[in-house]
Amino acid sequence: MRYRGWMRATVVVVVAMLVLAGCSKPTQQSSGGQGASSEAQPVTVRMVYWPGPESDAMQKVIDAYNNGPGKTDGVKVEMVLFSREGFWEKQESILSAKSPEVDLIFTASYVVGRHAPNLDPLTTVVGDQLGTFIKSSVDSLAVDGKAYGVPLDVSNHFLYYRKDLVDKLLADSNWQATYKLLAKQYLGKEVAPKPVDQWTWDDFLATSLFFTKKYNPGSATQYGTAMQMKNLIYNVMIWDDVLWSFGGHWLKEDGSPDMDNAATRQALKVYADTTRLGVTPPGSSSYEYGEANEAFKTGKAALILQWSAAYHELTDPQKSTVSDKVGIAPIPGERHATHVHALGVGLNAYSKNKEAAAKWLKYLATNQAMQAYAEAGAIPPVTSVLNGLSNIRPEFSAIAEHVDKYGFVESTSPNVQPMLEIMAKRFSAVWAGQGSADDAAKQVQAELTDVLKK
Amino acid sequence: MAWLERKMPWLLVLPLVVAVLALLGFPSIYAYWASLHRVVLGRVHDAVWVGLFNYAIVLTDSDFWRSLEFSAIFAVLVTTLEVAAGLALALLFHRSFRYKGAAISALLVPMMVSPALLTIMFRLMLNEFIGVVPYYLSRLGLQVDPLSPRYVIPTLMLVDIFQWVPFAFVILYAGLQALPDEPFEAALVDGASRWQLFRYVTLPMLTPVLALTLFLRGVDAFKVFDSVYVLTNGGPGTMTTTASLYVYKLGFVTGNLGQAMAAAVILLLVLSLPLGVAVRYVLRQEGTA
Repeated sequence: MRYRGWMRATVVVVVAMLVLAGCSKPTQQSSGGQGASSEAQPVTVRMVYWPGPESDAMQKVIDAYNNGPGKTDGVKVEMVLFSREGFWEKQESILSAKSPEVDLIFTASYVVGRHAPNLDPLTTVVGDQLGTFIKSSVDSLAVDGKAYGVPLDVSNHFLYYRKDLVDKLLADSNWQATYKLLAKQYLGKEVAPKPVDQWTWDDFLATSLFFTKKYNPGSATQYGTAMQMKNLIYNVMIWDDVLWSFGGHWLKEDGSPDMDNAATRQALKVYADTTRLGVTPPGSSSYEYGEANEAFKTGKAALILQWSAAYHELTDPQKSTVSDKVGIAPIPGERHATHVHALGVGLNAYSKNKEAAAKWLKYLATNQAMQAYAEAGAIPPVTSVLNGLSNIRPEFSAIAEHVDKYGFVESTSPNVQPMLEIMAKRFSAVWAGQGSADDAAKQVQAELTDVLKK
Repeated sequence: MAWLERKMPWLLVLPLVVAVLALLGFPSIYAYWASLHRVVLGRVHDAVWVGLFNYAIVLTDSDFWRSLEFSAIFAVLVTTLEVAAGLALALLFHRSFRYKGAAISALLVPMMVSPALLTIMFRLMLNEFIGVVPYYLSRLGLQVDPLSPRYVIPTLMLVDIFQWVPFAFVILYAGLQALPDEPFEAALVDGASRWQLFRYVTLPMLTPVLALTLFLRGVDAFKVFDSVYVLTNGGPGTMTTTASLYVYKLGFVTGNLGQAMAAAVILLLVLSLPLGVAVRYVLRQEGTA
């Protein structure tokens, strides 16, 4: 019967532990309380962040703050990293549960509309200091005229090209003759080589043909380009540049969808042509950011449409075989256009440390913090910071210029993600040569109408 | 104290019952409830009663039926191949040879890796520019891109087979080890050939284990998510969208949690059919044992 004694003791211990656990206070939230003096225990502000180069850079800003102004403010900032797989879903679960577990949440132009009901507007929190940032980036985190995020990283697209090869094409008459011949034969058009910043999509396709071994056995690269065609919302963002360059956009002025038109079909045709002609690898239908970079870095592709963040990697001699041959230019088209989105942080409406979080946000919205962030590898949308660092980060001045001159923000409504998902689903089939542009345009128009009705 | 002693067994299982109810019971009830409401991600507290509307939307969505069809075909093909390969390996290992333990350990490695991680490794190995597979294929004169639309479905199947053949092998090998020796000895005395031994002795006695393996792998293959999510995200278009991926995208990408729950409930009903057959079969086997 001795075991009964043990069982009784076990039950008593378990019950006691459960009772104690239930009675104990959470450790994170109110150590020090709101408005604690600098001598008291600092208030811990927990900020969700996106893991990768951005979080590495942000850690340096946090360290500087915690060891400097944070001491005076009585605030200590902690970064909470979720893995990128399912990042938004995890964060949205926290917001849906109205949890005060984190004080600042990570947001982006394409999800801010969905986050907004659970965020506090920043106009009163940060005030005029949002003027530190490029206006379009602040707008890209605003919903119904209210700013919900401090924009910390700006993303746009470039046409990356092999400078050595394109320069030779512009100088070599034999290459030019072959180029014209291929364009005539496979595109049915008279196209002559011209400077990259003047390219239309015909120039892009003709150059892709010329640098594909299948058409030009003397080509230094196996493929002209490496398109990102995986069924992925981020790939639709790149394709959106093509749509805008043809004068298209998702919505009419009255807010109804505007996809069943010539611009959509033309933009789809550009992508589908790269597959049909075989100027992009056959596996492009599963390509995203990493694969396109690999194609370029290994010297297998001469042109890629890619995010501005890739410049650092493509020009890194440790990672790229063509690091000293990388050129950047505006996205081709009669009208150059680049999708712009910002990544930033917003204030959780259910936070219990709003006052402390506001102090940290105000610090983030300073030139000093953004300078440190940029020096650590990030791309803050602050013109003076970007231009000031162009000697060590040559792409920064191009980012500032392109975002300003060619940048567009489609929408920040809560429906952005569903809309992108519909386009990714329907258009990725057309890109890969598995469906017709006409059917896809009609289908997307119908499905977007349905989504917006809801 | 007599009361405490009487209730002791119940008290001891109570934490487990509470955990099961919290982790399985609540989500299940919530799923049924949400399937009858308009629930949007980010505003789950503003649910609106819509009756069977979500079910109607899902059942009239051609993408849902396409995903169901793809999952079913995928499950049937990979399960058949995995169980066949697992059985062949189990028969091969059902004898003594040197380094057998080490060989079995090596064989089980793919099963130990998380499916998402294994698929990321495949994504690198299959990459046309840096991957070892296209490299060796090209050395053999084969210009095949395993991730092109033409080959992407067989590639997804091969990834699943590579990971889960060890699972079929382990169960079937354990089943073989547990078979009694007498029927084999009697058959050998009667002059049975190796094929006859397999066909008329091994296979009938192994049938319950085979059925269990087919069932477990079938259900798991039907629910495949990780590898498709990492490798194709359901594309190009909806070519490789599985039922699980359909539900995930509906709930977490487009934010229609109510519709996603309705789709999940429908999937549960679809899967309950083979589940019922399998349970009946197992119970019958137990009854005749």
